[in-house]
Amino acid sequence: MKYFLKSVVAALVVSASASGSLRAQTGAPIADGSTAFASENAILDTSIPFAIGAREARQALRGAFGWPSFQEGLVEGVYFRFDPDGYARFAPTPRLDVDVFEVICRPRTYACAARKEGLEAFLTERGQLQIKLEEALAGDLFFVSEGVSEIQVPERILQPLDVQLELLLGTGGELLIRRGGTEVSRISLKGFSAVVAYLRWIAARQDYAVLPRGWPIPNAQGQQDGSGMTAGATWNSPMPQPQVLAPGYAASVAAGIAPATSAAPVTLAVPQSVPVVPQMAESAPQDTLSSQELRTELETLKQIILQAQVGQAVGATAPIGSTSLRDTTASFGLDVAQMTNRDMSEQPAFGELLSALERLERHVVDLQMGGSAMPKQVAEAPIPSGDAVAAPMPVPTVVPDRSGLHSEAQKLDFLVTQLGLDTQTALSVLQLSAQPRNAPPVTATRVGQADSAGLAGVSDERAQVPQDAASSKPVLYQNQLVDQILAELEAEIALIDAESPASVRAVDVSVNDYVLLSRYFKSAALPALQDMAARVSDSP
Amino acid sequence: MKSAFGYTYRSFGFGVLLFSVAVVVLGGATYSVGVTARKYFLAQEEEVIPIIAGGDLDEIPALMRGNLPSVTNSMVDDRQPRQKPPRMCEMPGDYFDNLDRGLEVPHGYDKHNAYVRKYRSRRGVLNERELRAAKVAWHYFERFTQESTGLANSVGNYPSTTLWDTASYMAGLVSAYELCLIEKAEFDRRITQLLTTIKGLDLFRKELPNKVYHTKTGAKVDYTNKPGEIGFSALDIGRFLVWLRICKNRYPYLANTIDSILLKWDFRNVIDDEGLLFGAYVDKETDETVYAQEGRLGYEEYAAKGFALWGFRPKLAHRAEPFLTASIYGIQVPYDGRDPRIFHSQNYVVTESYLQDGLELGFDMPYDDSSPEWIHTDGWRAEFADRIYQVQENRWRQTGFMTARSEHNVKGPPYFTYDTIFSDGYPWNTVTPRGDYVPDHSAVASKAALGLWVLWETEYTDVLYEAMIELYDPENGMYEGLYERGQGRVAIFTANNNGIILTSLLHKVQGPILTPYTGDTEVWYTAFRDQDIRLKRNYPDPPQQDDWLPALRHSVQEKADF
Repeated sequence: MKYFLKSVVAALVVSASASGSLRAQTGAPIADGSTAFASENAILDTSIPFAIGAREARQALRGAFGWPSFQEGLVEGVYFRFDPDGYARFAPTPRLDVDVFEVICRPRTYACAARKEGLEAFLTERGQLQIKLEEALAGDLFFVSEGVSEIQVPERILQPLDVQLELLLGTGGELLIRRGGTEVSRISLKGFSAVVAYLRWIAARQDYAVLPRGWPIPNAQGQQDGSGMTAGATWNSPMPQPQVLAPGYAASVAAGIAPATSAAPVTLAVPQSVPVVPQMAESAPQDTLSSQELRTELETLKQIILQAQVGQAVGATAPIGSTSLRDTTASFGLDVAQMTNRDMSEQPAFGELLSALERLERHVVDLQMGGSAMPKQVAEAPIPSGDAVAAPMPVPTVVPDRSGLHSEAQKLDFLVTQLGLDTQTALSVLQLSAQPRNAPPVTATRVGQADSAGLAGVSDERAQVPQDAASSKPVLYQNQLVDQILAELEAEIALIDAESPASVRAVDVSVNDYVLLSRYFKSAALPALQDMAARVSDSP
Repeated sequence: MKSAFGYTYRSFGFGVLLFSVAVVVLGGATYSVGVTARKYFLAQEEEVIPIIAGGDLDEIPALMRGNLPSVTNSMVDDRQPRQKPPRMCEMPGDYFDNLDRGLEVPHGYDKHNAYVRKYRSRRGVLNERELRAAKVAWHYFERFTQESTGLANSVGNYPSTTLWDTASYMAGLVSAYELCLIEKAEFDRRITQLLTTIKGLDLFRKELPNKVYHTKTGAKVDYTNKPGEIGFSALDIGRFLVWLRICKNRYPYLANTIDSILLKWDFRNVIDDEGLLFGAYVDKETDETVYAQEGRLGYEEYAAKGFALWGFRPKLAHRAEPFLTASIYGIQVPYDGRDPRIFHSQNYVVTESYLQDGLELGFDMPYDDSSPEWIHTDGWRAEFADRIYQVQENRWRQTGFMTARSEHNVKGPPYFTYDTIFSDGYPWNTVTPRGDYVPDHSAVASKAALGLWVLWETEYTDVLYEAMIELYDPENGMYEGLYERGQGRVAIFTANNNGIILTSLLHKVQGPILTPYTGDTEVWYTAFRDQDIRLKRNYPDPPQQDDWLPALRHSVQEKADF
């Protein structure tokens, strides 16, 4: 009987695999190009300009398939074009014919790599830039050449780049590889900085916040859906604009107030314009309910991830769920990208996982921003009289724009993926930065400074919440809730790490990498960030 | 007092003379006044010519105009229209012995602006190699035609197609039947299923067929083959109209089916009063239909002739202007003069549109059904085509690159290239649909090579033939081409490539594919005469001589320009 059962099972397995392979043979498209244009492969919206002056255009298609649109423009001295699937070319000539950086993304993922001659640049899982050089061997020397001047760069350019090295390579010129005094390779770095910004922009789902300081982005973040986004005439200033708009400004734009100058958004972002919303206290039960839902969904998510891990363990492939968890809920986007690397159609559980992730992300953002939905309700509902209205001062009703707010999760994501901090360090930095939350209202100047310093989310939220409102319970409660949940997640992840470290390690990260990164952060990044947080908290 | 002649004024004789003169003058004046008066007052009655109903002077009311036959040059010049050639397997043994090829006629324009080309087309039955290529090319359609709809996939087994590629399938179908690769039962089954499906297609906003359809379901889809609508293409429709006319003229028993397809379509926006062609797309923001002029030199005229074959008058679209020329290897290559920076539409110069005009329409005007094969009544089209051929041969002779350029698919990104003779200001520019320069994808296109081989019987096209005639995969059809830089074959199989190759081979056997219409009037012209549908949908009346597109000529290049 046992033998019979074995035989039956074996026969079933064989027949299933045979039918599967048969399907694969008959179903495999001869023209692989046709399947490349499936809508699932579109990861970019070409109507959102990468830089000011870029325009969306229609492709001159004669055939039955292809991308209907693309975007082209000029930034930092290089012309570029990119398709909805992320495929892009950057070159110093409009014909995009010579000295080209070509960016190719893995289908249905945000994992992209830029290539030029023997150079390949890509973002690591932590969002750090790393380059690969085909010609490089151990012992080679590397130089950055600009005309007749050269400077030698350390061998660690082959490891994830720090900010200084990235800036150095981004200045242009050429990267030389010398071996025993002989030049082995010479690679043009023209367009390197633009390509890196593009890679980060893709990974951040076209969020302008990740673009470098001074990047020429259109002054209309709140109007990303607007029809005039790619029409140059609708931009009132060609100068670089603040990278993150204050919600008040976004609301004014939505209300039809024409943007005036680059200084205008800052003026409108003064937090006095934010309404005091005691009604939020009334919505506390709703928040409680949401938090319960959130926790329920977290549990569901964990179960799904664990199930997925179990399923993948059989397949002996790189773990994804564990690393996703370790990167906290804020890095959901990257996790989605990792998961979608696999064939989603073959693993239905991933669909559930993705939907759960999206729901969770929405909840986190909703809870974090709280007011993004609630002030709208306040604005629409009649204002109740009585003690609940603690602020009799007539203030303009401003509906904060959801996209303008940066959640704690996003901040954490920024610190982890962009600055390369580990999660604990990032949390501590966040706690440090959260201390002055009860400080007096920040001025417009401070908002601009903070934005340009890269900690846009922190100052942004502060700009939204005035002193009295900031001290109100609901807002604090929401932040605490998220912090609490994140801390719980961290604790659980740490526990999981301790229990099964081997199963959750990313395959491509070695111990040396961690040691190196830890030393680096201890020596440089952490003190600098602490100083930065201290400066922010000390400033009036 | 005496006169000079010796008479006195008071004499009798002078009196008689004076009286006589007076009588004569008065009589003459009376006569002339009478004649003049009669001419003015009585002439009308005498010169009335009765108008016979249906005669030359009868202005036929709109209700009856559909009954008129379309006027062709065989009717005007009282010549015998061409005859449909027999199928290859039914041809008499001496069929090609008596063929009039006009070999002794020098090339150039004649007084009617018709053009005789420098080289003649190849004619004859297919040899073994060509027949094998034809069978393999037809095998593409055997393999990739969907049973459920009768539509053929544009590219391999990806279930999507356009009207352009559907026309290519019809080309393959007609060629397969005429080359005796399939029999009438199979031909009828396929063409009937196809035409029935096309009649049932859901149109783009109740106007014209959508740009792309799913071949398994017949549903209109977007470029990602998901349900949706993206607009219509005037060029695709123009090519499809050419092949509907070919089928209708060759096989009159299909006429009613074909007419019923077109009588569902609404042509009010695809062609304007000046005869320009317009495509349509959907505005991304407002979701409204946007009509935009479509077509550049080469494709535009070919599509215009497709519309003209059905009675439309695409006068501006059929003109070459505005065009400019670029000197490449001594040849003034014509290209569209509309600036891509202004009009955001590229002006690609490729071989394909000229080939299709030559193969299918014989570089003839739509009203020409009687001129010899070697006289091209759409003269400037044939003369421009000669330049397109010559510049490619010159490149081969001066650089060694075999050249037969067209648009073609490629394997892997960017998946599709316009492999042009000239575009964006650059000769031999290989660009993607979005404009990137990708010279690594330049290739000798199979369809262009075999098309040139058929239409220009030269030493150079013999070389092209040798490179291409065995470039096939027996399971999938003819390869798309051969990479110019030595990367091997372009391993893609498409309906357009295989359809044009079959058309080329059929042209070798039968000459120009379009044959004269043998009936009198057509349902296409007589339907809905009792309603306002014809007016609303812009259905034309049968073209008369005044409606003919003008036959024009352009300056001929006398010597090489370096």
